[in-house]
Amino acid sequence: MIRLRNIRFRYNSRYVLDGLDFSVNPGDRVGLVGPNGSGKTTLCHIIMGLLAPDSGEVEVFGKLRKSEADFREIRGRIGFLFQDADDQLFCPTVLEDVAFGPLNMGKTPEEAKGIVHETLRSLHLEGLADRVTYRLSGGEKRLVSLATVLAMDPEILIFDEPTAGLDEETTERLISILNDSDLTYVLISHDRDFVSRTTNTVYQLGRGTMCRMG
Amino acid sequence: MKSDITIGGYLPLDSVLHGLDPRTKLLGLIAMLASIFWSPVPAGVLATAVPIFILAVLSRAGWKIWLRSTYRFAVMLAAVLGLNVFFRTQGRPVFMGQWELPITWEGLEIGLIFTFQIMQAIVAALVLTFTTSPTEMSRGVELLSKPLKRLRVPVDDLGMVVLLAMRFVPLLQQELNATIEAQKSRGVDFRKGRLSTRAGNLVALLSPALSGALRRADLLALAMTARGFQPGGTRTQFKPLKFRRADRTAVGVLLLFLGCRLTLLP
Repeated sequence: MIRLRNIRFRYNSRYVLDGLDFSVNPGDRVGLVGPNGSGKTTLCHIIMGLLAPDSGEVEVFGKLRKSEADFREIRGRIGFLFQDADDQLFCPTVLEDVAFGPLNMGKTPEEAKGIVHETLRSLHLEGLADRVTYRLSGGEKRLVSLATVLAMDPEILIFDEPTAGLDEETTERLISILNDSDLTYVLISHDRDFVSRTTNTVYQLGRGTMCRMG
Repeated sequence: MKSDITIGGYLPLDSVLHGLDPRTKLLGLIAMLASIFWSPVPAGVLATAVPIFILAVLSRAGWKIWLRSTYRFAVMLAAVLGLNVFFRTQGRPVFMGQWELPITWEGLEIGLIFTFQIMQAIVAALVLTFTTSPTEMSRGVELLSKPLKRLRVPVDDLGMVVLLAMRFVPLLQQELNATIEAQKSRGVDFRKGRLSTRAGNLVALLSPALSGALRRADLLALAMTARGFQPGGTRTQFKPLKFRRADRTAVGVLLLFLGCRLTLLP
Protein backbone atom coordinates (compact mmCIF):
# COMPACT_ATOMS: atom_id res chain seq x y z
CA MET A 1 0.00 0.00 0.00
CA ILE A 2 2.81 2.41 0.93
CA ARG A 3 6.41 2.05 -0.19
CA LEU A 4 9.05 4.69 0.44
CA ARG A 5 12.49 4.25 -1.06
CA ASN A 6 15.67 6.07 -0.15
CA ILE A 7 13.84 9.09 1.25
CA ARG A 8 15.94 12.10 2.22
CA PHE A 9 14.50 15.18 3.88
CA ARG A 10 16.19 18.01 5.71
CA TYR A 11 15.29 21.00 7.81
CA ASN A 12 17.88 23.66 6.99
CA SER A 13 21.11 21.66 6.76
CA ARG A 14 20.13 18.78 9.07
CA TYR A 15 18.82 15.62 7.44
CA VAL A 16 16.02 14.17 9.61
CA LEU A 17 15.41 11.42 7.08
CA ASP A 18 18.53 10.18 5.34
CA GLY A 19 18.06 7.35 2.86
CA LEU A 20 15.04 5.88 4.63
CA ASP A 21 13.05 2.87 3.32
CA PHE A 22 9.61 2.08 4.69
CA SER A 23 6.61 0.04 3.62
CA VAL A 24 3.10 -0.72 4.82
CA ASN A 25 1.06 -3.67 3.54
CA PRO A 26 -2.66 -4.40 3.90
CA GLY A 27 -3.53 -5.36 7.48
CA ASP A 28 -0.32 -3.91 8.93
CA ARG A 29 -0.51 -2.01 12.20
CA VAL A 30 2.75 -0.16 12.35
CA GLY A 31 4.07 1.76 15.32
CA LEU A 32 6.71 4.47 14.86
CA VAL A 33 8.69 5.43 17.93
CA GLY A 34 11.70 7.63 18.41
CA PRO A 35 12.90 10.78 20.13
CA ASN A 36 11.51 14.23 19.39
CA GLY A 37 12.82 15.59 16.11
CA SER A 38 13.65 12.14 14.74
CA GLY A 39 11.37 12.71 11.74
CA LYS A 40 8.30 10.62 12.63
CA THR A 41 5.78 13.33 11.81
CA THR A 42 7.81 14.43 8.79
CA LEU A 43 7.70 10.87 7.43
CA CYS A 44 3.90 10.81 7.73
CA HIS A 45 3.59 14.22 6.09
CA ILE A 46 5.68 12.92 3.19
CA ILE A 47 3.35 9.93 2.78
CA MET A 48 0.39 12.33 2.62
CA GLY A 49 2.18 14.65 0.19
CA LEU A 50 2.03 17.50 2.70
CA LEU A 51 5.83 17.72 2.51
CA ALA A 52 7.99 16.87 -0.50
CA PRO A 53 11.20 14.87 0.09
CA ASP A 54 14.51 16.21 -1.19
CA SER A 55 15.04 12.89 -2.95
CA GLY A 56 13.64 9.36 -3.03
CA GLU A 57 10.48 7.68 -4.23
CA VAL A 58 7.01 7.72 -2.69
CA GLU A 59 4.78 4.94 -3.95
CA VAL A 60 1.24 4.83 -2.59
CA PHE A 61 -1.48 2.40 -3.73
CA GLY A 62 0.80 0.98 -6.41
CA LYS A 63 1.64 4.27 -8.10
CA LEU A 64 4.56 6.65 -7.83
CA ARG A 65 3.40 9.96 -6.36
CA LYS A 66 5.25 13.10 -7.34
CA SER A 67 2.90 15.97 -8.09
CA GLU A 68 0.19 17.60 -5.98
CA ALA A 69 -2.40 16.04 -8.29
CA ASP A 70 -0.96 12.57 -7.55
CA PHE A 71 -1.36 13.11 -3.82
CA ARG A 72 -4.78 14.72 -4.10
CA GLU A 73 -6.05 11.41 -5.36
CA ILE A 74 -4.85 9.51 -2.29
CA ARG A 75 -5.92 11.98 0.41
CA GLY A 76 -9.42 10.58 0.52
CA ARG A 77 -7.95 7.11 0.90
CA ILE A 78 -5.48 7.87 3.70
CA GLY A 79 -6.84 9.32 6.92
CA PHE A 80 -4.49 11.55 8.88
CA LEU A 81 -5.04 12.28 12.56
CA PHE A 82 -3.09 15.33 13.69
CA GLN A 83 -1.19 15.62 16.96
CA ASP A 84 -3.31 18.49 18.26
CA ALA A 85 -7.05 17.94 17.85
CA ASP A 86 -7.56 21.71 17.69
CA ASP A 87 -5.68 21.72 14.39
CA GLN A 88 -7.98 19.06 13.01
CA LEU A 89 -11.30 20.58 14.03
CA PHE A 90 -12.10 23.85 12.33
CA CYS A 91 -15.84 23.81 11.67
CA PRO A 92 -18.33 25.30 14.14
CA THR A 93 -20.09 22.06 15.07
CA VAL A 94 -19.12 18.40 15.28
CA LEU A 95 -21.67 17.55 12.60
CA GLU A 96 -20.18 19.99 10.11
CA ASP A 97 -16.63 19.02 10.96
CA VAL A 98 -17.19 15.33 10.40
CA ALA A 99 -19.08 16.12 7.18
CA PHE A 100 -16.26 18.34 5.84
CA GLY A 101 -14.29 15.50 4.24
CA PRO A 102 -17.26 13.69 2.66
CA LEU A 103 -18.56 17.00 1.23
CA ASN A 104 -15.15 17.68 -0.30
CA MET A 105 -15.39 14.28 -1.92
CA GLY A 106 -18.64 15.25 -3.62
CA LYS A 107 -21.14 13.46 -1.37
CA THR A 108 -24.66 14.92 -1.27
CA PRO A 109 -25.80 16.58 2.00
CA GLU A 110 -28.02 13.55 2.76
CA GLU A 111 -25.18 11.11 2.11
CA ALA A 112 -22.81 13.21 4.20
CA LYS A 113 -25.32 13.39 7.06
CA GLY A 114 -25.75 9.61 6.94
CA ILE A 115 -21.98 9.09 7.02
CA VAL A 116 -21.63 11.50 9.97
CA HIS A 117 -24.28 9.76 12.05
CA GLU A 118 -22.94 6.30 11.23
CA THR A 119 -19.37 7.32 12.09
CA LEU A 120 -20.36 9.00 15.35
CA ARG A 121 -22.48 5.97 16.27
CA SER A 122 -19.58 3.59 15.63
CA LEU A 123 -17.44 5.62 18.06
CA HIS A 124 -20.29 6.01 20.58
CA LEU A 125 -20.32 9.76 20.08
CA GLU A 126 -23.95 10.14 18.98
CA GLY A 127 -24.71 12.87 21.51
CA LEU A 128 -21.98 15.17 20.25
CA ALA A 129 -23.30 15.88 16.75
CA ASP A 130 -24.64 19.36 17.49
CA ARG A 131 -21.96 20.37 19.99
CA VAL A 132 -19.65 23.31 19.29
CA THR A 133 -16.23 21.80 18.54
CA TYR A 134 -14.01 24.15 20.51
CA ARG A 135 -16.08 23.59 23.66
CA LEU A 136 -15.48 19.82 23.69
CA SER A 137 -13.17 18.27 26.27
CA GLY A 138 -9.67 17.15 25.19
CA GLY A 139 -10.76 13.49 25.00
CA GLU A 140 -13.93 14.31 23.08
CA LYS A 141 -11.94 16.44 20.65
CA ARG A 142 -9.54 13.56 20.02
CA LEU A 143 -12.36 11.10 19.34
CA VAL A 144 -14.21 13.58 17.13
CA SER A 145 -10.95 14.10 15.22
CA LEU A 146 -10.88 10.37 14.66
CA ALA A 147 -14.48 10.54 13.46
CA THR A 148 -13.57 13.27 10.94
CA VAL A 149 -10.93 10.96 9.51
CA LEU A 150 -13.02 7.77 9.59
CA ALA A 151 -15.88 9.58 7.83
CA MET A 152 -13.74 9.61 4.71
CA ASP A 153 -13.68 5.80 4.79
CA PRO A 154 -9.90 5.60 4.52
CA GLU A 155 -7.96 2.52 3.49
CA ILE A 156 -5.05 3.46 5.74
CA LEU A 157 -4.95 5.64 8.83
CA ILE A 158 -2.03 7.66 10.10
CA PHE A 159 -2.11 8.72 13.75
CA ASP A 160 0.27 11.36 15.04
CA GLU A 161 0.55 11.03 18.83
CA PRO A 162 -3.07 9.98 19.33
CA THR A 163 -2.77 9.69 23.12
CA ALA A 164 -1.09 13.05 23.74
CA GLY A 165 -3.00 14.78 26.54
CA LEU A 166 -5.56 11.99 26.93
CA ASP A 167 -6.66 10.58 30.27
CA GLU A 168 -6.50 6.83 30.93
CA GLU A 169 -10.18 6.24 30.25
CA THR A 170 -10.12 7.87 26.81
CA THR A 171 -6.83 6.13 26.00
CA GLU A 172 -8.43 2.77 26.84
CA ARG A 173 -11.41 3.71 24.69
CA LEU A 174 -9.11 4.54 21.79
CA ILE A 175 -7.24 1.24 22.24
CA SER A 176 -10.47 -0.74 22.12
CA ILE A 177 -11.66 1.21 19.04
CA LEU A 178 -8.39 0.42 17.24
CA ASN A 179 -8.34 -3.23 18.29
CA ASP A 180 -11.96 -3.73 17.26
CA SER A 181 -11.36 -2.25 13.82
CA ASP A 182 -9.89 -3.99 10.79
CA LEU A 183 -8.01 -0.89 9.68
CA THR A 184 -4.47 -0.72 8.37
CA TYR A 185 -2.65 2.04 10.18
CA VAL A 186 0.61 3.76 11.02
CA LEU A 187 0.83 5.15 14.50
CA ILE A 188 3.34 7.61 15.97
CA SER A 189 3.57 7.59 19.73
CA HIS A 190 5.87 8.04 22.70
CA ASP A 191 3.55 5.86 24.75
CA ARG A 192 5.25 2.43 24.54
CA ASP A 193 2.36 0.66 26.30
CA PHE A 194 -0.15 2.11 23.86
CA VAL A 195 2.04 1.15 20.89
CA SER A 196 2.55 -2.41 22.12
CA ARG A 197 -1.19 -2.90 22.63
CA THR A 198 -2.31 -1.52 19.28
CA THR A 199 0.36 -2.46 16.73
CA ASN A 200 1.96 -5.62 15.35
CA THR A 201 5.17 -4.05 14.00
CA VAL A 202 7.22 -1.32 15.66
CA TYR A 203 9.97 0.75 14.06
CA GLN A 204 12.41 3.01 15.86
CA LEU A 205 13.41 6.20 14.06
CA GLY A 206 16.68 7.97 14.72
CA ARG A 207 19.65 9.54 12.95
CA GLY A 208 17.71 9.70 9.70
CA THR A 209 16.94 6.00 9.40
CA MET A 210 14.71 3.42 11.04
CA CYS A 211 15.11 -0.08 12.43
CA ARG A 212 12.53 -2.71 13.25
CA MET A 213 12.05 -3.39 16.94
CA GLY A 214 9.36 -6.03 16.97
CA MET B 1 -23.06 27.34 27.40
CA LYS B 2 -23.86 31.03 27.46
CA SER B 3 -21.36 31.63 30.24
CA ASP B 4 -18.31 31.32 28.00
CA ILE B 5 -19.43 33.16 24.89
CA THR B 6 -16.69 34.87 23.00
CA ILE B 7 -16.98 38.22 21.26
CA GLY B 8 -19.61 37.79 18.60
CA GLY B 9 -20.10 34.10 19.33
CA TYR B 10 -23.08 32.38 17.76
CA LEU B 11 -25.93 31.56 20.15
CA PRO B 12 -27.80 28.46 18.98
CA LEU B 13 -31.31 29.68 19.93
CA ASP B 14 -34.66 29.58 18.21
CA SER B 15 -35.74 33.05 17.15
CA VAL B 16 -37.24 34.78 14.12
CA LEU B 17 -33.81 36.18 13.30
CA HIS B 18 -32.13 32.78 13.60
CA GLY B 19 -34.53 31.49 10.94
CA LEU B 20 -33.68 34.18 8.37
CA ASP B 21 -31.37 33.58 5.44
CA PRO B 22 -27.84 34.88 6.25
CA ARG B 23 -27.92 37.00 3.07
CA THR B 24 -30.95 38.86 4.42
CA LYS B 25 -29.13 39.48 7.69
CA LEU B 26 -25.90 40.57 6.02
CA LEU B 27 -27.74 43.00 3.75
CA GLY B 28 -29.76 44.11 6.76
CA LEU B 29 -26.58 44.89 8.67
CA ILE B 30 -25.23 46.94 5.76
CA ALA B 31 -28.53 48.84 5.55
CA MET B 32 -28.58 49.47 9.30
CA LEU B 33 -24.98 50.71 9.25
CA ALA B 34 -25.87 53.06 6.40
CA SER B 35 -28.81 54.33 8.42
CA ILE B 36 -26.70 54.75 11.57
CA PHE B 37 -23.93 56.73 9.93
CA TRP B 38 -26.02 58.50 7.23
CA SER B 39 -26.01 61.82 9.07
CA PRO B 40 -25.20 62.85 12.63
CA VAL B 41 -28.67 64.33 13.18
CA PRO B 42 -29.81 63.49 16.73
CA ALA B 43 -33.36 62.66 15.58
CA GLY B 44 -32.06 60.36 12.84
CA VAL B 45 -29.66 58.58 15.17
CA LEU B 46 -32.43 58.10 17.73
CA ALA B 47 -34.81 56.85 15.02
CA THR B 48 -32.30 54.11 14.08
CA ALA B 49 -31.91 53.12 17.72
CA VAL B 50 -35.54 51.92 17.83
CA PRO B 51 -35.27 49.13 15.20
CA ILE B 52 -31.86 48.15 16.53
CA PHE B 53 -33.33 47.77 20.02
CA ILE B 54 -36.17 45.68 18.55
CA LEU B 55 -33.64 43.48 16.68
CA ALA B 56 -31.65 42.99 19.90
CA VAL B 57 -34.82 41.84 21.67
CA LEU B 58 -35.81 39.60 18.74
CA SER B 59 -32.41 37.87 18.90
CA ARG B 60 -33.54 36.39 22.26
CA ALA B 61 -29.98 36.61 23.55
CA GLY B 62 -31.17 37.91 26.93
CA TRP B 63 -30.08 41.03 28.76
CA LYS B 64 -27.20 39.32 30.60
CA ILE B 65 -25.51 38.33 27.34
CA TRP B 66 -26.11 41.80 25.93
CA LEU B 67 -24.69 43.44 29.02
CA ARG B 68 -21.59 41.24 29.05
CA SER B 69 -20.99 41.59 25.31
CA THR B 70 -21.39 45.35 25.14
CA TYR B 71 -19.42 45.90 28.36
CA ARG B 72 -16.33 44.64 26.54
CA PHE B 73 -16.51 47.71 24.32
CA ALA B 74 -16.86 50.17 27.22
CA VAL B 75 -13.22 51.30 27.13
CA MET B 76 -13.32 51.83 23.38
CA LEU B 77 -16.56 53.82 23.62
CA ALA B 78 -15.16 55.91 26.47
CA ALA B 79 -12.07 56.64 24.36
CA VAL B 80 -14.21 57.67 21.38
CA LEU B 81 -16.26 59.97 23.61
CA GLY B 82 -13.17 61.41 25.32
CA LEU B 83 -11.32 62.09 22.07
CA ASN B 84 -14.30 63.85 20.54
CA VAL B 85 -15.10 65.88 23.63
CA PHE B 86 -11.58 66.98 24.54
CA PHE B 87 -10.09 67.49 21.08
CA ARG B 88 -12.97 69.38 19.51
CA THR B 89 -12.26 72.85 20.83
CA GLN B 90 -14.34 75.00 18.46
CA GLY B 91 -17.73 76.14 19.72
CA ARG B 92 -19.39 77.44 22.85
CA PRO B 93 -17.40 76.57 25.97
CA VAL B 94 -19.05 74.67 28.81
CA PHE B 95 -19.16 76.40 32.19
CA MET B 96 -19.45 74.78 35.57
CA GLY B 97 -20.51 77.65 37.77
CA GLN B 98 -17.91 80.30 37.01
CA TRP B 99 -15.30 77.77 35.82
CA GLU B 100 -14.80 77.38 32.10
CA LEU B 101 -14.19 73.72 31.29
CA PRO B 102 -11.80 72.70 28.46
CA ILE B 103 -14.71 71.35 26.43
CA THR B 104 -17.38 72.78 24.16
CA TRP B 105 -21.10 72.10 23.83
CA GLU B 106 -20.54 71.22 20.17
CA GLY B 107 -17.76 68.73 21.07
CA LEU B 108 -19.98 67.20 23.73
CA GLU B 109 -22.89 66.84 21.30
CA ILE B 110 -20.79 65.35 18.50
CA GLY B 111 -18.97 63.08 20.94
CA LEU B 112 -22.20 61.73 22.39
CA ILE B 113 -23.80 61.25 18.97
CA PHE B 114 -20.73 59.51 17.52
CA THR B 115 -20.38 57.23 20.59
CA PHE B 116 -24.08 56.37 20.36
CA GLN B 117 -23.69 55.63 16.64
CA ILE B 118 -20.77 53.26 17.29
CA MET B 119 -22.71 51.58 20.09
CA GLN B 120 -25.60 51.00 17.70
CA ALA B 121 -23.24 49.59 15.07
CA ILE B 122 -21.79 47.19 17.65
CA VAL B 123 -25.26 46.01 18.69
CA ALA B 124 -26.32 45.58 15.05
CA ALA B 125 -23.20 43.53 14.31
CA LEU B 126 -23.72 41.42 17.43
CA VAL B 127 -27.33 40.74 16.40
CA LEU B 128 -25.93 39.28 13.20
CA THR B 129 -23.25 37.13 14.83
CA PHE B 130 -25.51 35.98 17.69
CA THR B 131 -28.14 34.74 15.25
CA THR B 132 -26.01 33.44 12.36
CA SER B 133 -23.83 30.37 12.64
CA PRO B 134 -20.31 30.71 11.18
CA THR B 135 -21.20 28.24 8.43
CA GLU B 136 -24.28 30.22 7.42
CA MET B 137 -22.27 33.42 7.58
CA SER B 138 -19.52 32.08 5.35
CA ARG B 139 -22.05 30.76 2.85
CA GLY B 140 -23.89 34.10 2.88
CA VAL B 141 -20.67 36.04 2.25
CA GLU B 142 -19.76 33.62 -0.53
CA LEU B 143 -23.10 33.97 -2.30
CA LEU B 144 -23.35 37.74 -1.87
CA SER B 145 -19.88 38.24 -3.29
CA LYS B 146 -20.59 36.05 -6.33
CA PRO B 147 -20.76 39.03 -8.75
CA LEU B 148 -17.09 39.67 -7.92
CA LYS B 149 -16.24 36.38 -9.60
CA ARG B 150 -16.27 38.22 -12.91
CA LEU B 151 -13.39 40.32 -11.59
CA ARG B 152 -11.55 37.06 -10.82
CA VAL B 153 -11.97 37.49 -7.06
CA PRO B 154 -11.81 33.98 -5.52
CA VAL B 155 -15.31 34.24 -4.02
CA ASP B 156 -15.62 30.46 -3.49
CA ASP B 157 -12.76 30.63 -1.02
CA LEU B 158 -13.99 33.87 0.58
CA GLY B 159 -16.64 32.01 2.56
CA MET B 160 -14.08 29.52 3.84
CA VAL B 161 -11.80 32.39 4.87
CA VAL B 162 -14.66 33.95 6.88
CA LEU B 163 -15.41 30.57 8.48
CA LEU B 164 -11.81 30.00 9.50
CA ALA B 165 -11.41 33.57 10.74
CA MET B 166 -14.38 33.02 13.05
CA ARG B 167 -12.99 29.67 14.17
CA PHE B 168 -9.71 31.38 15.01
CA VAL B 169 -11.25 33.87 17.46
CA PRO B 170 -11.67 31.40 20.37
CA LEU B 171 -8.40 29.68 19.48
CA LEU B 172 -6.51 32.96 19.61
CA GLN B 173 -8.21 33.82 22.88
CA GLN B 174 -7.03 30.48 24.29
CA GLU B 175 -3.53 31.08 22.93
CA LEU B 176 -3.43 34.56 24.46
CA ASN B 177 -4.78 33.34 27.82
CA ALA B 178 -2.17 30.57 27.91
CA THR B 179 0.61 33.09 27.20
CA ILE B 180 -0.72 35.48 29.86
CA GLU B 181 -0.86 32.65 32.43
CA ALA B 182 2.68 31.54 31.47
CA GLN B 183 3.98 35.07 31.93
CA LYS B 184 2.07 35.55 35.20
CA SER B 185 3.60 32.34 36.56
CA ARG B 186 7.00 33.88 35.85
CA GLY B 187 6.16 36.95 37.89
CA VAL B 188 4.86 39.38 35.28
CA ASP B 189 2.04 41.51 36.68
CA PHE B 190 -0.04 43.08 33.95
CA ARG B 191 -1.92 45.35 36.37
CA LYS B 192 0.99 46.90 38.22
CA GLY B 193 3.83 49.19 37.25
CA ARG B 194 4.09 52.34 35.21
CA LEU B 195 2.14 52.73 32.02
CA SER B 196 5.28 52.18 29.92
CA THR B 197 6.11 48.95 31.83
CA ARG B 198 2.57 47.65 31.41
CA ALA B 199 2.63 48.52 27.72
CA GLY B 200 5.97 46.66 27.44
CA ASN B 201 4.45 43.59 29.12
CA LEU B 202 1.58 43.62 26.65
CA VAL B 203 3.95 43.90 23.69
CA ALA B 204 5.78 40.84 25.04
CA LEU B 205 2.51 38.95 24.68
CA LEU B 206 2.15 39.73 21.02
CA SER B 207 5.14 37.82 19.75
CA PRO B 208 4.24 34.37 21.19
CA ALA B 209 0.54 34.91 20.41
CA LEU B 210 1.34 35.81 16.80
CA SER B 211 3.76 32.93 16.29
CA GLY B 212 1.17 30.58 17.83
CA ALA B 213 -1.48 31.89 15.46
CA LEU B 214 0.77 31.43 12.43
CA ARG B 215 1.71 27.91 13.52
CA ARG B 216 -1.96 27.05 13.89
CA ALA B 217 -2.80 28.56 10.50
CA ASP B 218 -0.09 26.44 8.91
CA LEU B 219 -1.36 23.24 10.53
CA LEU B 220 -4.95 24.12 9.73
CA ALA B 221 -4.07 24.41 6.06
CA LEU B 222 -2.42 20.96 6.25
CA ALA B 223 -5.45 19.50 8.03
CA MET B 224 -7.81 20.88 5.40
CA THR B 225 -5.64 19.59 2.57
CA ALA B 226 -5.45 16.17 4.23
CA ARG B 227 -9.24 16.05 4.22
CA GLY B 228 -9.55 16.69 0.53
CA PHE B 229 -10.11 20.47 0.49
CA GLN B 230 -8.91 22.22 -2.65
CA PRO B 231 -8.98 26.00 -2.95
CA GLY B 232 -11.37 26.86 -5.75
CA GLY B 233 -12.50 23.25 -6.04
CA THR B 234 -16.15 22.21 -6.10
CA ARG B 235 -17.66 21.27 -2.77
CA THR B 236 -21.13 20.07 -1.89
CA GLN B 237 -23.05 22.35 0.50
CA PHE B 238 -24.39 20.84 3.68
CA LYS B 239 -27.37 23.17 4.03
CA PRO B 240 -28.22 24.93 0.75
CA LEU B 241 -29.60 28.39 1.51
CA LYS B 242 -33.21 29.27 0.70
CA PHE B 243 -34.84 32.66 0.48
CA ARG B 244 -38.17 32.20 2.31
CA ARG B 245 -41.27 34.28 2.92
CA ALA B 246 -39.87 35.58 6.21
CA ASP B 247 -36.85 36.89 4.29
CA ARG B 248 -39.03 38.71 1.78
CA THR B 249 -41.01 40.29 4.64
CA ALA B 250 -37.79 41.26 6.44
CA VAL B 251 -36.37 42.86 3.29
CA GLY B 252 -39.64 44.73 2.75
CA VAL B 253 -39.68 46.12 6.31
CA LEU B 254 -36.02 47.03 6.02
CA LEU B 255 -36.48 48.91 2.74
CA LEU B 256 -39.50 50.74 4.16
CA PHE B 257 -37.53 51.80 7.24
CA LEU B 258 -34.51 52.82 5.20
CA GLY B 259 -36.69 54.85 2.81
CA CYS B 260 -38.37 56.69 5.70
CA ARG B 261 -35.07 57.27 7.52
CA LEU B 262 -33.24 58.69 4.52
CA THR B 263 -36.09 60.87 3.24
CA LEU B 264 -37.71 62.10 6.45
CA LEU B 265 -34.50 62.54 8.49
CA PRO B 266 -31.78 63.19 5.90
